[in-house]
Amino acid sequence: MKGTAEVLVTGIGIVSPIGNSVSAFLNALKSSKSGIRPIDLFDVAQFRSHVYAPAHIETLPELSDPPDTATWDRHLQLGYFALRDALRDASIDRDRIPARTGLVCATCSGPMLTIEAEYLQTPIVPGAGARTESVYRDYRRYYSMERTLVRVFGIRGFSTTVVTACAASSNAIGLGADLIAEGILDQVFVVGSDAFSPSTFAGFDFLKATCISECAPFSDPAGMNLGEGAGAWVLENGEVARRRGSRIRGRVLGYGLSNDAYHATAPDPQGEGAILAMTRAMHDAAIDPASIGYINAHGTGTLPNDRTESRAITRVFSDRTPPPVSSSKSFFGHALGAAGILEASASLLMMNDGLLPPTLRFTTAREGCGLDYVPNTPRKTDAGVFLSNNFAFAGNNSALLVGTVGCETSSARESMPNEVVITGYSSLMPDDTRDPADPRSYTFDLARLAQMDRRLPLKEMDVSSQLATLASKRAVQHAGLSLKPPDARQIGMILGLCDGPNRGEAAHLRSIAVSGLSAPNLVMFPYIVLNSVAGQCSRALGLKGFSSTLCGAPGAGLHALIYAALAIRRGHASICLACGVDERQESYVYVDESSHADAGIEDRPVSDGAACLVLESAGSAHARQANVLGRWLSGSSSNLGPDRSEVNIGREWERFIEELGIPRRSIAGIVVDADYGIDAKRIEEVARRFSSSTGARIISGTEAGSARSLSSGALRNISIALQIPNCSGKTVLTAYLSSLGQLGLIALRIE
Amino acid sequence: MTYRSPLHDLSVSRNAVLTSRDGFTAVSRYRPLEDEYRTIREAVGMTDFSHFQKFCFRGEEALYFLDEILPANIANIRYGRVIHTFLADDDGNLLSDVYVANQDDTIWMICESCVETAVIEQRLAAANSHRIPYDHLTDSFAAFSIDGPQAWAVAREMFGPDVLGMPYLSVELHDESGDGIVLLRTGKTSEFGYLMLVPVARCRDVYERLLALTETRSGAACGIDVFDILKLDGRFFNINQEGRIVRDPLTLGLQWMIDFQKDTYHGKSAIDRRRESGLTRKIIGLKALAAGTPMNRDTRIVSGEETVAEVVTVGYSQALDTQMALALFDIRYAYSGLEFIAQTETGNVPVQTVSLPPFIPRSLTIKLDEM
Amino acid sequence: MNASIENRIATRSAVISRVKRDLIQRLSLSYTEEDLHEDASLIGSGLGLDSLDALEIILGIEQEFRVKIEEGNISVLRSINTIVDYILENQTHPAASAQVTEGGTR
Repeated sequence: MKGTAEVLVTGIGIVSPIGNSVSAFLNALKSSKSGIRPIDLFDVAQFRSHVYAPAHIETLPELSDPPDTATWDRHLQLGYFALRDALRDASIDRDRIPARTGLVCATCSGPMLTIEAEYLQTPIVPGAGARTESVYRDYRRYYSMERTLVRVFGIRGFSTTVVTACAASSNAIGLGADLIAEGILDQVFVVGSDAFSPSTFAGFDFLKATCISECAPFSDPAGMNLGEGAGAWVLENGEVARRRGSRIRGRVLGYGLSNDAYHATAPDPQGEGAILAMTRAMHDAAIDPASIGYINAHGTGTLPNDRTESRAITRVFSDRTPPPVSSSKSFFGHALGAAGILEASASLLMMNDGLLPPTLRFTTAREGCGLDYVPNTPRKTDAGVFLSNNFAFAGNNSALLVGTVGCETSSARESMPNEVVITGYSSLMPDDTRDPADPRSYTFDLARLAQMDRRLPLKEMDVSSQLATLASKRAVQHAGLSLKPPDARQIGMILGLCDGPNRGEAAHLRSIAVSGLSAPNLVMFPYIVLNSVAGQCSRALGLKGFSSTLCGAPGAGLHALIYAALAIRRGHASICLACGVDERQESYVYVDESSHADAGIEDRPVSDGAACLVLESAGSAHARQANVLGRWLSGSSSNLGPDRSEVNIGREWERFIEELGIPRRSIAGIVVDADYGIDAKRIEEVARRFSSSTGARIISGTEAGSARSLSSGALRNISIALQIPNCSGKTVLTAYLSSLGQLGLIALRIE
Repeated sequence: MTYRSPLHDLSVSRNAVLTSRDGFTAVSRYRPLEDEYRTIREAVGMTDFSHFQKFCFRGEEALYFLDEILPANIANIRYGRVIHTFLADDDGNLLSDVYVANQDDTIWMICESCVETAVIEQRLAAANSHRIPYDHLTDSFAAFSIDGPQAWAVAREMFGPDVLGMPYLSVELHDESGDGIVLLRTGKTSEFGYLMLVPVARCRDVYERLLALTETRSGAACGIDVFDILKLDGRFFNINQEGRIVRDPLTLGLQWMIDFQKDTYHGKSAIDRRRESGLTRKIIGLKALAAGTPMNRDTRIVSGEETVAEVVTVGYSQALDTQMALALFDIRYAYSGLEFIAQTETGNVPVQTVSLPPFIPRSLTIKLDEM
Repeated sequence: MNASIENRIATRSAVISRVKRDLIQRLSLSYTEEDLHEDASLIGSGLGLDSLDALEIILGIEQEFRVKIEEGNISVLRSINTIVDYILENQTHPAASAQVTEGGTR
């Protein structure tokens, strides 16, 4: 039945400091072999910490498409090998990936080595894959791993990149599981990857978060070691997997997300956000604490994390003794965006062999850490369910529940998905009264934005965060919701961003470029991560609900919307904002594989902007007698690949209408939009053909000639669709083709 | 009419020494000031501050109203947080040291003033052209504070373990037992401090419970005068001493209470004018280097022939074991670490300007987050 | 003004000014140097800075003045004056370090 599909893990790929295959990784875990080594990449005399956990990778093969593997950032190389190996592990032929397959990537620092090279002219780490000639091009983008893997492996379904820093890859596993459980996809490849970056190391070191020696989570000395690596999982619909005869490695039972709404780097000492994530995970999986046999802790080793996490776990298990807890970071360091998937892999592989992974270098328990941390050697277990925690900068928390091969717990939930309605929206664009020929008319003035709402701490924020915060507050108010703490803590938020916010990156890396690695900008360093935008917004508004950030170039807003709808349908949240934010950067030149240089059609300039929708369960909207603007029918995002012809667009369109299963005549309006002029023409043509048989009214998302915003555009189109006159009781579509070839189709019923 | 705390009679029955000023009577002290000082620096003291003027507003409009009166960015105050600022007259002179607390859109304004209540009330009324409704609660709410390195323990016993998570300058409503207590984590002593607003009908019961808990932590009831010394050596602004005498917030170093980017607040034009023309004098701390002849208010501080400062307020700091003072210095000499001569009535005393705060309070070594 | 006091004021006011400039720039404070009273509390009360700001201040002082502030030293960051005291007590050759700074290493 739709909405209750079982989600199996049928393939695992690992590139890690303790081994590059499932068996090498497992052997190291069983023999308590640490991957932490002295740093030999640069002079470390000026730092507290002199060790890290490096991964070792083979040389990239020549690929026919794309051919430029020499310019791949290291995180992309790591991710490529992990996914390649996961597909082999799952016996999937990489040349014949089925259409109903998606990709969810996860990263924290993403292309930081390439970005470093751009600021520093010469890379700090020689031969890291970073090339200065790739400046301003694809490989300095946070979505570059996803786009490249989509292309290399020919993935056609939904694809996006989760960028919730250290919570990213466990969050990505959850999103992948949702897509399968909802019946949207049959297979999802999840890839989490991060490469060790000197500038990030310097930031953590100067924040005094690093350990003076090899780390000893929950014991002494306190502090973390940075690592790197990648993990990939093949998630598969249970029925499809059994039909294919897949080997089963485990099953995803559920997950929970939250935001601390507390501080840029420090965890809320009360651990409320961590507790919310863990209890939401148990709610999602419909299991109680007694079923959990082991917890793989975030366990960075820092004082605030280990104390807060131990306290939060104790509170979640209230009257019973918590199960054993350990930190795999004692083996392979903190792999940031890859941490979640590597740690879940360690737990799953060990528990499939009846063992719990230990915490290495554990001597005596640190003050405030009073749990059973499985010291130093693996321990026998017959437990079948584990919880894996990851907590991040900007307050993002993730808790993932996974069952082993032999796990008895059924993950198929009985309840039907919630119906999703839209109860509010907002949109922000710069004044269009100014001179359209002046590029400055496409940007907001920081000082002016700060004046737009005196109740918000906008002065402290960068443009992206200001826009996200303003748009979110306005949408919440439009929906008639209160932002008082008890109400706000339930509101979730999925943010879509084109790319990183400029200010944090520039401040931190310019400082390092001018004065060296010993001069990180600590005030701005926490804002280098993409999730800092939603983090600041959540903090300003007190939002502690289901929280994530997606980066996917122009498609990010669309993906945020689809994820927010999934969050409501699957009961992760009863109210969830979908927000898209764009910060115009002069460096944005969306080079795309299928050249759009067709003569005669000009592309509209890119502008700052934000848009936000309030999605809500029909039950919640009914209970508070909210004004329902529209009902969510279906949403899809697919990769068209290099063929962006009308025929190919039309094929996807027809497939969507067919799966929608409603009479064509009930479709009364279509909002069409695209990033490139040439694509806009094609998609309008497809819409015109469709409406000639149905009589639907076609509206262009943005008038020709005016500016366009990127990730917020897809959300703005929804608000336009909701306002088409004389459509009440009818269905409206929005169709959007991004510059990267992602086609988004959304169907709503207007109230 | 003189204001008296609802616990006035109880205090008198406990042998309180009383003090009266600015239209109120309160407890000066129960024991010698040095004993009360030690209680608060080493354990916990409980003090009745019911004479603070208390006002209650509701909703966003009220925040904008207060934003036009007070110099801090009041409109920006987050749920559950407290802003510390002041209220000035139109000439930019201090009237009140003010806390504004946003307890989920109920806005509490708590004033410690150097003028009578009627003056504050008149200012609010005169500024209220939009007729924002508010309640004047000075008579209907008592105010107690607990201060000291053990104050957190008393608060935890009284309100539960979650109060340890309250950051400095935050507010919560505690109504579990129907007390309706507004709890603020504040403090002007540099030790842990909690200030409670309690409805008069329940204040006696709450006072007794708090005092009992305070006593289990080696604490005791204290009067208000010990705070003059605690603020002096803890370097917290004191509206009743230097504030009452100097009255210019810039000379007093209260710029941090002002958002200079704001368009309006009471006294703004006068304060802006003084800011533009630059300060000529400034408040600096000093300590006596020799025992003996004590300094007084107006004692002259000299360097050779030149008078460089006048003493504004003095007190004996047990933490430093010497006499301390704040003096109004010629800006050219307003630096710490310099030796001068204080010309007291009975002789010259060597003094040294000091960096404030001059010692580490015990509370600073206790991390509530880690409990 | 007597020469000894004048000298000490000159030394101190130069350090105060550098500390204030560094603070204002690193933390993007919307105050001028004159607005910052040297005794105003930095963390919690007063300027209300948080732990991250505190680390940034420490980093700034260590770089600007070539002094080392030990972890867990809670007495230094209480006010601008306590920072300046620490610098003056721990900077071995203030003049030399000033020259290095003016020489343009930063």
